[in-house]
Amino acid sequence: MSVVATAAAVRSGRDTAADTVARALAALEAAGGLNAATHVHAERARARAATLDARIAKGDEPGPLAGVPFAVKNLFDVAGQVTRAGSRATEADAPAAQDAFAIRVLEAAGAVLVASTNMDELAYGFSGENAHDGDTRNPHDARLSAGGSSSGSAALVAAGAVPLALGTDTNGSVRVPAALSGVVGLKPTYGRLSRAGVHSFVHSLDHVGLFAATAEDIGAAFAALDAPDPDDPVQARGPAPRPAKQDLRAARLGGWFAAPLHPDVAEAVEAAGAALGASRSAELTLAEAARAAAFVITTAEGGQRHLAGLARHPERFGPLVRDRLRAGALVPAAWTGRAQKLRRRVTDELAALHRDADILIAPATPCPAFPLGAAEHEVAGETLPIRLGIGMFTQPLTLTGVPIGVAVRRGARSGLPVGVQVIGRPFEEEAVLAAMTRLEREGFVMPPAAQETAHA
Amino acid sequence: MPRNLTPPPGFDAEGYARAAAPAIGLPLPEEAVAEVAANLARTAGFAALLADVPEIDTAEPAPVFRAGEGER
Repeated sequence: MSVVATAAAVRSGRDTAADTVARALAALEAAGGLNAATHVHAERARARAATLDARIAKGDEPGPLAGVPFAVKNLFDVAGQVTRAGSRATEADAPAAQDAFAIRVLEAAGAVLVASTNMDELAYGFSGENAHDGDTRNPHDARLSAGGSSSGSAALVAAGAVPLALGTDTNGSVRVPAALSGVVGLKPTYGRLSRAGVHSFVHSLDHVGLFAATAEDIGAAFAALDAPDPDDPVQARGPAPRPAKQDLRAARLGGWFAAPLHPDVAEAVEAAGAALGASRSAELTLAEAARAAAFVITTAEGGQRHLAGLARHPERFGPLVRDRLRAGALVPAAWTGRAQKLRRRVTDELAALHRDADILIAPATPCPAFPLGAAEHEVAGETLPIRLGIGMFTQPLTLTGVPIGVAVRRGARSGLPVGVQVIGRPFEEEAVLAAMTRLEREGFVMPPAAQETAHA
Repeated sequence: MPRNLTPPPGFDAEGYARAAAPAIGLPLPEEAVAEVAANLARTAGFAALLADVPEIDTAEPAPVFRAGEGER
């Protein structure tokens, strides 16, 4: 059931928060084989639901998201628990004193936290493989990656276990799993949503993002999350939100974003372009350099972020991240300096492309989901190194900080979901969501994976 | 299309890692050196690509500190 429908049912008294939460807890149990949830907050969720139902019974306003169960990547602080960030490197950390800001505002709007989710260790990866917690499995095919690093959040929404989940996106960690698991994703404008209470990875690039089944659901949750937080020193407030224009002008990104593409992805980009009337192609000439800059900034800041831990207890870091973080900590300042300068350049170049187009379209990933454990994957006749290649279309754009949604549909050849990035101007999330709603009307929809099995 | 990037000629990633690790207080066990150096060499390849961007060194970096922004 959708975010909007769940809240409407609970608000009107046709359903209760207690029953909604009980169904979500049962669905989480049923989805256990995906290894998507690392902690189910059953007791807390039941207590919260009971409080909500009591308020509704008294005639109090329960909030626009009343009774909506949601999950968060396990790098969001949950009061009283150690924030794991998918790692043993965090195991000696003090338990969180309070919930992350994002959880507090969603619950203030009536939503109910039910689970924390599996992820790539310390958010450093695109595959959902985790040395400590095991791999997240793709609900459409358990042998495949759900995408990462917000793997469990995407997988739980794809399986229909929760209608809403939060993740983070640094180089594509919301957009990649949205595409590979087949759910709608949104990486809002850099700095727009508070990161307070979220375990950091790369301060220059980390974003809080969302997963749901539809753009309407994303919009409902985003409205609650979009709130000022004095505890986030980098939070950026843009101009007052404007309603999206009726006539959105769209263009496709060519050049770097044109290859390599699995035919299912190429067709999805084509279809999205047609649906949004994008007859033009625009080229972001600095895309390759932007991806290089994002790589350099990520490894350097990630390494610096964990330098003390690498010195004190290197054995607690998993093998997929330990030496990458060590190498990152050693990156010379001249490299990161150039990367930050390139960031300004590419942001300016993208803004110029956005003068003639409200929305730009690009593939989310080169291919549908790849097998867990794979190091390489063939895409359109090219052998793509998975760890470097899967984020090649998300990574350059992350650097610009613009809001990007992912719309998904089923690929005709693979039968698997594929995603398209819907790229707006800074602080124009409304336009992104409007374009995604239009895409949904033109066939960009994926039913929950569990239902597919049931109907098969 | 991603190119195969190569680190700048003459960059000795292993030697650099061994020499720089003590400067930042990073213990570097001998068995980790090869993998750390491979990662550094890859990053060097990406960084070399940035060096080719015209007038990159005189560009304004992206994160600009704005005094007073934290006082809300």
